[in-house]
Amino acid sequence: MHPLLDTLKTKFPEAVLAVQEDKQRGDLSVRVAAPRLLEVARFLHDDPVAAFDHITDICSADYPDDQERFEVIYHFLSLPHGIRIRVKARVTEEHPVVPSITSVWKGADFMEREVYDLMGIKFSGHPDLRRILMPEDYDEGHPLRKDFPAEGRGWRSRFDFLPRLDEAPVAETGRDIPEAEKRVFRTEPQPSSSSRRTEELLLNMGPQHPATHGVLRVVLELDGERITKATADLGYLHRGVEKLAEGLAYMQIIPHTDRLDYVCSMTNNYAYVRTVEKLLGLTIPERAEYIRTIVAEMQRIIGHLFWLGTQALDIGAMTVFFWTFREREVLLDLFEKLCGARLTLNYFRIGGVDSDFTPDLVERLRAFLKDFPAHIEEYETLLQTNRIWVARTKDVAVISAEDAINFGLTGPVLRASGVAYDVRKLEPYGAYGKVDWEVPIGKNGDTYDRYWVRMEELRQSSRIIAQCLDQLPEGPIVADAPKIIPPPKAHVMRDMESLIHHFIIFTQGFKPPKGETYCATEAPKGELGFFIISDGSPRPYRMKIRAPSFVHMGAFDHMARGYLISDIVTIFGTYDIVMGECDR
Amino acid sequence: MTKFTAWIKTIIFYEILVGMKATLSHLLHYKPITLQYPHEKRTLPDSYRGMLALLRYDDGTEKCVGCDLCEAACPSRVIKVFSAEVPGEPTKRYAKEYYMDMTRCLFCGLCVDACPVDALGMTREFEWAVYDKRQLRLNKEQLLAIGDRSYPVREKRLEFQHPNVAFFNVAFKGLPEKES
Repeated sequence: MHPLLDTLKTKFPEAVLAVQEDKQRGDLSVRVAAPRLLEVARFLHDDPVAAFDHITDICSADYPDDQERFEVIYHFLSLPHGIRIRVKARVTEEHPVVPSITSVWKGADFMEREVYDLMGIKFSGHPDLRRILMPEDYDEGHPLRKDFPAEGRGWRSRFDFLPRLDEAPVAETGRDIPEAEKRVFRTEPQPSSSSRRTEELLLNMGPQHPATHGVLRVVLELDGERITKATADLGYLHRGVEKLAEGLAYMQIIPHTDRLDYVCSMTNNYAYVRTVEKLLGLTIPERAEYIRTIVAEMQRIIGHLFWLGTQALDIGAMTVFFWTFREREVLLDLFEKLCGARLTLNYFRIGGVDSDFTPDLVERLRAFLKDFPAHIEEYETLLQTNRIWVARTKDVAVISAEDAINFGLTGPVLRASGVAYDVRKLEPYGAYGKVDWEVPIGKNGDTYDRYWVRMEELRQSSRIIAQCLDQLPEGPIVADAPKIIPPPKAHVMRDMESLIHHFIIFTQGFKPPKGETYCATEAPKGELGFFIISDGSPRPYRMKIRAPSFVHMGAFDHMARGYLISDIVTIFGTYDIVMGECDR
Repeated sequence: MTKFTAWIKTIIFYEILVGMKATLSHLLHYKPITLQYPHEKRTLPDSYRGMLALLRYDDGTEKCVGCDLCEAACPSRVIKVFSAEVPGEPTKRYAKEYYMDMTRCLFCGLCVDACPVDALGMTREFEWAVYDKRQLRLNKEQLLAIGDRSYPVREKRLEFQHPNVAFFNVAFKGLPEKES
């Protein structure tokens, strides 16, 4: 057994109910008594033996038949030791209360709110326990509970807020917003002794605002031009992908993951497919691994180019936007050639990829890589030393390394603060372990460093692709597992056995073993993780998406406080948020 | 000295000049990469995942055998198939009615993967904007018409050895060529 689990057992004989090590998948999990969760969490965070300083995710599951119905599942990562742990606590339906861990990890704030919103578990000691993805006045229950129908309650036409065609439109009159409704957005009132009258200004930004990169609403509390509190209001693009996935076979979820981070959809495919393969214990052919790495890095280039263009556009540099989209277009054309779509690609399959690289495609990709470094330098001549860009990004939205880890930030946002955490290095997957590349790290953790990190990542990505193209081995692109992967089309029509497998896989789906696993993948935005609980049926019992944009929004208030109102679009942009992923 | 150069660079807006040089050089080597869309059109690759279509054999008979696999594979319940026996041939089945609600389609191509007789294909058509979304609920005739105009080369229908293996027809490798 892992020494850490022994330590936990001897240290907390009453609080730790059970420990388990999944040797095959390399997962550690601990079950603790819910009331004593906080002391175990504090030990895990503080003790140098454990040092789980990074909060990855909080998830919940519903088992209606059990006596203790709900399970809250925490994922922590220890950056010094490089291990992950899963802490689980069970609560009953009558008393669904778990102590909040926001005092240990600040990033738990948004995650606990999400669990409260979707599963209805209360967190005692949470500073601001409100709904986050669903509307605040939503009173139909908690959607991820198993007794909540996936179709929702009631017909869409019965919603009274939808305008009806046969009725005259109601004239909207302005109304005063009561003070009680404003209170949630305000900071704590400061008692002022002077006779000078001060008043905070509440400014509503979004959801229809071009600089918020989607439908995000932020309520800013201003003192003059300074932001004193920024409350993000999420959920305008909530589609309930996690609930939807519970009703779909494993294979059918892949096109739905395309729609999470629609700027670079293949990385979502990759993250999901890897989790299912980890659950199944499936190994992938060498060529498929290389192809996956290549396309994932192409998507990273697309994602960072998109980010660079829009961030520069937000700040006022128009030319960069056109130039980055020019290069992006070349890659999108390659994807169109490869799998027939430009944005929602649906290219990955469980056990491999959909179609093979043709020599023509490899040639075009090589030609692109040859020109690409010159293009990066072109962007840099426009931005790197430009005084407007430097003034707008240097020392804006600074976050220290400790805070960044404590909030659970990942990806370029974390690396700009000087933390060399990259899933591709920590847990190498694909062909990342076989090629030579570096993790760029910033120093100050400001917007300029995040820009610099992403520019360096563009160079590293093209390095990885070039090496992968050189090493690209021959061979099959799909694993040989007839019970899981549909047989090739030509066999289906000739061979009785293949036909039977084909029918079974497409009608029933395959059945992975009972179990649960978390698998993290480095997406352009940060660590994109999928947590799947399988009950042995062809559909996931619970699928949780650890979306980096959502976690990053949790640190938004912390990073925006004290800056000018004109910096707010820079701060949005620096996370590279995509609301499709944030709201899921 | 370095301080002096920095000062000179500041007052002459050096970095802006460098940026303007890059921009103006693009003006000289002017090469548009955009297309005037409704007048000019891109050539789409063969594997393009556009509008779905039902295909026919070279003798004009429908390929679809009404097996419902596309309906089962679809992640967003686009397809509805009602299958029936071919009149006079009790061992053979066909799709009596076939509906696709294209407002919900994700264009993921799983139905095409699922079809055991390659009766479904994805075309290069994408200009399907309509004023009334009820027009996007397509029936079998409309889907066959899309297939007829997109796939002029049809798969050959073979002579069957036995009526029971009627739907195990040997398929093309992939899909037939599309009109370019």
